[in-house]
Order: sequence, then structure tokens, then C-alpha cells
Amino acid sequence: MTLRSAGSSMAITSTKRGFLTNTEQKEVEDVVSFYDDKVTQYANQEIQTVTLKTLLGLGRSGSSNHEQGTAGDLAINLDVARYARKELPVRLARLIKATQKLPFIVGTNPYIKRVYKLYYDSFQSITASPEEIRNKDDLDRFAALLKGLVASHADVVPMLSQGFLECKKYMAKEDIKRFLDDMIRARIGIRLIAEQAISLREQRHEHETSSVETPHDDIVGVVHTELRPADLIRTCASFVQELCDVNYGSSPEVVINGQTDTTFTYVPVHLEYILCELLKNSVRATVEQSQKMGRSALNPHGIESDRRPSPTNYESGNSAVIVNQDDDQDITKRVNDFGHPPVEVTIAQGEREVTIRIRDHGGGISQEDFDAIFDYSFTTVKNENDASKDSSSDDSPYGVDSIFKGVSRLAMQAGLGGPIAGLGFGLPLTRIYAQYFGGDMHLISLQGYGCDVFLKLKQIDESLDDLQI
Amino acid sequence: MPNSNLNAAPAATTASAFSPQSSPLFKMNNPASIVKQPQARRRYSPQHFYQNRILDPYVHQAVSPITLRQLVFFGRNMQEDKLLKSANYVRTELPIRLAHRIRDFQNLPFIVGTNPHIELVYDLYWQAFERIAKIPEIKTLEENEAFCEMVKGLLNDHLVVIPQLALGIMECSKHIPAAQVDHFMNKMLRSRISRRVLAEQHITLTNNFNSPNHMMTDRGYIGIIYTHIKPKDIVERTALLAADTCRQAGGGMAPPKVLLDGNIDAEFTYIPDHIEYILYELLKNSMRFVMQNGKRDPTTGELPPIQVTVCEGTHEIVFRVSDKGGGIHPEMESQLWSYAQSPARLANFEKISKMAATVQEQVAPSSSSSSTLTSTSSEESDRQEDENIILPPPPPTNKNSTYQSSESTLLLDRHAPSRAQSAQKSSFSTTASSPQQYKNQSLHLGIGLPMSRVYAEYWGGDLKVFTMHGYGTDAYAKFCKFGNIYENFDV
Repeated sequence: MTLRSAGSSMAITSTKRGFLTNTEQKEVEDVVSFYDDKVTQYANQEIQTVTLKTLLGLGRSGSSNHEQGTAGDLAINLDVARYARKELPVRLARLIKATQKLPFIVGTNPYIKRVYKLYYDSFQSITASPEEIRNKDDLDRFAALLKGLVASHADVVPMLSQGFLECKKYMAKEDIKRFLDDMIRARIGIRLIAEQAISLREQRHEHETSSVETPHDDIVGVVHTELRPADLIRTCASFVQELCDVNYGSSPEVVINGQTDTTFTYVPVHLEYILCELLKNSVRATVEQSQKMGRSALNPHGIESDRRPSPTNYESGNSAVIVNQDDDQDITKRVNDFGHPPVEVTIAQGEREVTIRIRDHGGGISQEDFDAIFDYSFTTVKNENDASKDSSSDDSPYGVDSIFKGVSRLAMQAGLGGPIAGLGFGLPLTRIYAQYFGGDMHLISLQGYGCDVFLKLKQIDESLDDLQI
Repeated sequence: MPNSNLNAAPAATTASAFSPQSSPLFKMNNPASIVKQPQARRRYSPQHFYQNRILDPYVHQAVSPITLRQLVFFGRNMQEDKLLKSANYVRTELPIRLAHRIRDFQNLPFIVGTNPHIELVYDLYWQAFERIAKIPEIKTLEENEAFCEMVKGLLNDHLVVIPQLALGIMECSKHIPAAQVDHFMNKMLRSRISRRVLAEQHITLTNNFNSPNHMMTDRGYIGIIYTHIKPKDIVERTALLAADTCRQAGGGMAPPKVLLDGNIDAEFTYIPDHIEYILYELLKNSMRFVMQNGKRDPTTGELPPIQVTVCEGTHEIVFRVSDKGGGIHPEMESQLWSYAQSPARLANFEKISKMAATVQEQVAPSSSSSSTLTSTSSEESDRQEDENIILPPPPPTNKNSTYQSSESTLLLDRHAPSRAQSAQKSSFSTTASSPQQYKNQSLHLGIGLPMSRVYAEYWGGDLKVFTMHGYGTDAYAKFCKFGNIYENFDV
């Protein structure tokens, strides 16, 4: 039985299913044939593992050679584009094949099918485009094609989220996790290659068409060699605070300290996404905890606290310890006018890596929830059959409610943090991004107090040359 | 076979060093034969192999782990029959736990078992096992007294276990992979804590029962457990100790200050010793790093302070120790929790003969050579006379009123005439003023963290350390509040 017949026999009657429109519904039914061999052909090809060096080294020399004239640049761009043209179909094919291995019933879910179709169509488009990229026009055309495809994939993650939520009972949690982990990693790699080709082309184009020397020497496609985390944190913080204000009416401050002048080489969109996710969690938790505790500017410890009012600082009998509980001088503690203690972000520059620590006073995560926060969590759907509910985990303070979801999705799609709205996927996705270039992310919950997150990001330099994308 | 290092043990120790045939312990070695065999040959004799049979019934018995709560409920309102019940519980439980560990030793690769340090510990365990297993049911208070004396002696003798084990296992590191080393050591340490908790709790209960001072129980001290632990007090105590240690080790350089915030007045039930050991290690590490790498404030010239935050949740309490000491170097970071050490540290282990792995052991004696610290939280009446009790504070009848109530913090008179001698009567006190103790605290043995973690995990807590290279380190020590978690040791 082909998937096509399966699709049509599952004609969906409701037109308002999540965010698939009617036309999209029809497309979903028109799915690839069982007998199409091309995918298998490509999937069986060896993945030419691109190392970071390959991806960047080309771009790197391209940007530093710009004074050599556009010829040199063009050559580099062409190389990357050709590489993308060759490599992307292979990776897409593998991804498609992995999706084909999902249980049949899961594959018939309209959201999953839609994602599948997206990838399949992208695969077709790229393989249909000319294999030879000889000149600027070819390059421009190819870059435009890629750009369109990348844009069309904007909603993949939310779609997967919804799809797997609906398929919760058909697949074991570990299997879902494994599939999604692999898929997301593959997706990151694919986008990295595609975006690199697109960005390089745009950079070059911009440089050509503008008379002023481009000020972005330090940007190499999707990589920024002089990225300042402090700046990015500030940007993400204001974005998140705005969201919070819209949703709750107030928000905490975000204090940035440590080695704030740190710069390093990284992919800004990745870091942006990670920071937005983590700050969103912290900020929202802080506000909710303040509400829960009755925190206010006059009552920084909350209404229920039976804490004795203690002097601001006092030295105990021995001079080794000073109690600095209500330290108004300490901006990492001082509650703002809304009674919210700040979220503290500390930057540290190590030899080969940058560590960012985010601390909040959001009350922490309870033990039961803690084990689930890294799940691709599809929890607390009150009515199992009512799958039109949000995929977010509503009982955890770190889940996202629908207003937040809608607003942040719009904002996310506006380009900040890339077109990935990690809704309900937030923490697992963040961790995958953090680990992508050999970094890591750890979350410590101090239940009743707050959370600390440690983000370790390896500097993207020669030492990572052999890291495979 | 006896390690020559042990024979060079300082004079303060008495029955711990091995002097072969003359030791009364040795006489217990050969239950089936009255002929004294040289100890070296005992373990390789066929007799040993066949005698091993007596271990079997114990190995096959399940251990009965307990919770803190059970200990507390049991320890309140002590009566004679309850005390005897406790004695018999210890009497039957200890050999079972010992037997399980002895079996672990027997499962080590043969070559490892022939290492003299390992052999020594193995023999100690065997002797302890045989001695306790032989004791018949305890039916009177006098029998209980004798039992307590015996157990105290054993605890004392076993103070050599940790350094010996560590030394032996490190020497064998070429025969067993590092992961196995760590696994073995963790197992041994967990079991050791479990036996000591049992033994010390019972001995302390006995002492309290004997002494007219039942007020200790009323005030929340149940054996070695304290039901009103205040994070503030405990942090202040350990910060002081750590600061002293670091000041001495740093040649007089002032250590960084410790700032304290969070739910400092939360109260919970726990064994103070355990928490203090961990906090002491963490604070000491932090101070050390800050003193080495910390950037002084340009205006005040002070080192960046260490921030301790107490976080109270519904089921747990977390102490977060946060420093700006530059972070742990990546190479060290991978070895953080490992017992397998560098050769330099190995040499340090040879210099110490005894290790109780308690905070008391670590304290630097003051210039008047009085010991600053004597007992654990037990309240033996003789020890109450000591001037310098750190924890918990003695009851008001104590004529040494350098101590105020437990609410206010400790005012420590470290220069008061020493009562160290009476401390030596106690088997728990290992801070007799001997050069040994100076060495213990200034030597960098490098196993403080893995041992702290074993302590933390013992009643269901944990210990995590995260570092930010180039900036500082955060450590999180979590403890369960309600004492309803069973002991965590391997059966």
C-alpha cells in the first residue's frame, strides 16, 4: 500500500487543525511514491563529512582576500556552493530515509507527513537544479533556491512537536527521543551548509554592490569571529523582557557580569537561539515565582517568609563569615520595582572555550518535573483525544502557555534567533545546539530557590578543524 | 608484611600500629589454632581458604539499611531495653556489612590482594569481623559496655584504613583500570560510613544513657544526629576552620571572606559531621583557588569573597559554594572525582598513617598546641569538659562557658588550656596534638572531593561541581531534609 493511498484515505475533515491550512492539507495527501528510487540512491552515497575547517576555511580565506578582488571571492563562493550542491542531497536523503523508518501510523500523521514532504520536495528541488555551478549567475540562482527552501522549512520544529505529541501513544519515549535527536542534528548540519553558501553569496554581493568597504570583516558566512556574548545577551534579554512584559505586565532585570569583554568565534544564530530559550525560561520563572511568593519591592522575600528581618550585613562572631542576605548594594540580588530579583548572566573566557552561567531566582524545578524537562515533552494534554491543545508542558513553570507561544513564535519568525520556535522543545533543542560544536549545557535546579544553567561553548577555531558537521 | 610506615607512627597513637605477635589483635587471628603463625604466612595458608567458610552465612544475609528518621525515633526516650536492642542490632549488622566488603576484597585480582597495604586492610576487616561475630547476644548493660569498648577500639584501629586503601589501590593502578579503582573505593567508603554511623550512634546513645545528661536528647541531639541543624551555624563553623587551614597553609596570608545568603535559618535533621566534612572540603578548595588565582579588588586590595547560598526546597537543602578562583583547569577537571592520583600525591599518602575523614581531624592546632577540636557531636561526659568544642555546643551545665547558646555563633577560645588529654580517651577524637594532625591538613591528598561525594550521597543527597574556566567554580551540596531516605551503600 502506498503512502499516497494511505494519505487520501485519511482525508482530514477538520480544516483548522493546528496551523495547517486547507491547501497544505491537500499537499500532505500527495506524498511520495513507494517506488521512487532516487532517495535510496542518494542515501546510499557516502556522506562527505564536512569538517568545520572545510566549511569555514573556504569562507575564511574568502573574506580576508577581498582586497584581491572579486575574482578570488567568487572562486571561494563557487566552491562552497558546489560543495553544498553535492552534499545537501545526500544528507537530505538520509534524513528522508530515517523518516521512512518511522512506524507506519506515525508516518500518516499529517504533521509528520508534512515535514516529510518538505524534505522530500527540497531533495527533489536540489537534485533537479543544475549540477554545474560555473559562474555568478548560476551561483545567484542556486543561492536563491536554497534561500527559498530554508524559508519553507521554518516551521519544521513546531510541526514535529505537534506531530509527535499526537503520536505519543504509538511510539516509545526513548525512540521518539532518539529519532528527534538525530533529526535535529542532521537538520542543523544541513542548515549550516546551506546558510553558509547563502551568506557567503550575500556578503560578496553586498561587498560588490556597495562602494563602502563592508565593515563585517569578522563575519564569515554564518560564523562571527569576534562575537561578543555580552552584546548578544543584551539583545536577547530585551527581547525576552518585552515578551514577558506583554504577557505578565512586568519582568526582572538581567544583570550581565564576569568577563564582559569576552569575544570568541561562534555561530551567532545558534547562540541567539540558546540564549533566548534560557533567558525566556529564567525570566518567566522569576515572574511566576514572585507571584507565588508575593514578592514585591517592599517585600523582597515574599509574604509568607518567616524570615526575621536581619540587618543588611552583619559579621558573625568569627570574622570569616559575613551574612549578606539583604544586600541592597549587590545588583545581582536587589529586587526591582516589581519585586523581581534579577537574572544574573556571567561570562567567563577560558583558554579554548567560553562559559556562560545564567542564574535566576525562579523557584527551581521540582524533582518530578526535573526528570522530564529534557524530554521532547508532550505532557499534560488534559484530553488525550483533543490533540489540538498546545504541545507545551503546562504544569512546569518552564513550559510555555499559549499567549507566550503565539507571540514568541511570531517574534522568532521575525528572524531573531532564526526561524526556530522552540516551543515545548526548548531545553532539549538548546542542549543539542550547545553540544553541536563540542560544547555542553548543564542545568542545576535549586528547588525552592532558582536555577543555574552552565553553558560551555567551544571556540570555533583550528582545534575544532576535524569536528564533523 | 606490616608496613614500615606504620611502625614509624607517632607516639600519640597506641594500639593502631602493627607490632606483630605481641598485639592482642594478632592473637585473635587464628581461632582454630593456638600455634602462632607468622602473620605473613597466614593468608596464604590452606587454612585461610577453608576458614573462609565462616564468611558465607554472613555474605548471604541481606543488610538492613536504615533511615535517619528511624535512628532519630529510636534514639529518643532511650530505655535500657531499647539500648540493648540497639546493641544487638549493631552486633548483628556490623559483621554482615563487613562480610560483604571482605568478599569484595576477595574478588579483587590476586595480584592486587597481595599488595601489602591492601593486605593490611583486609586483615583488619577480618579481625573485626571475627571478633564481633563471636560475641553472643548482649543481655545486660555491662555486656553492652564491654561491647562498646571493643567497638571503640576497632574504630580506632581502623583509622588507618583510608590512607592504606588509597595507597594500596593507587599502587595497583597498573593492574586495574581507573574506573574499577574508583568503583571499588566508593564502595568501600560507603560501607565504611555505614559501619561507623551504626557504631558511633550506638556508642553515643550508650554514653548519653549513662551520663545524667538527658538534656542533650531533649535539645535535639540524638546520638550523632542533630535535629535542629541551622545552615548558618554550620557554614560559619566550617568557614572558620577552612580559613584557619588556608591561612596556615598560605603562610599567614589572609584567606578570602565568606559571604552567606539564602534561607540561612532553615532547620533540618542530619548528622552534622557529614555536612561539615563536605562544606569544609568545598570551602577549603575555594579558598585555596582564590588565594592562588583571585584578582584582588583594586581599591580594597581584598580577595574576591566566596559566596555560600543556602537553598531550601520542599524535600532538600542545597548549599551552593561559589568562588571566583579562576576555575578548575580542564585537565584537572576530568580527574576531579577520581581516586587514581598523580605520583606526587601518592607520596603524600605515605606520610600520613591515620585518617578519620572527619572535619575534626583537619583543624590546625593553635600556637599553644591545644587542640581546637575534640569530639564529634557525641556528648561523652568526659569530653564535655573540653574547652573547645565546636559542635554541637555543650549543654549549659558545661562549666566552660566560652560557649554561648547554640543560636549565637561560636566564640571559640582556642587559647584556653588544652583538655586534649581527655579527648584522647575518646576513640572518635583524632586530633590529639600530634605532628600527625599537622600533616594531615597541610598535605594535599586530592581525594577530598570524591570522598565528599560519598558522604553527600549517603542519605540520598549529592554533590556537583561546575567550573567556569578563567573565572571560578560553583559547587552544589544537596541534602535530604526529611531523613526518610535509606542508607546508600552497596549490598
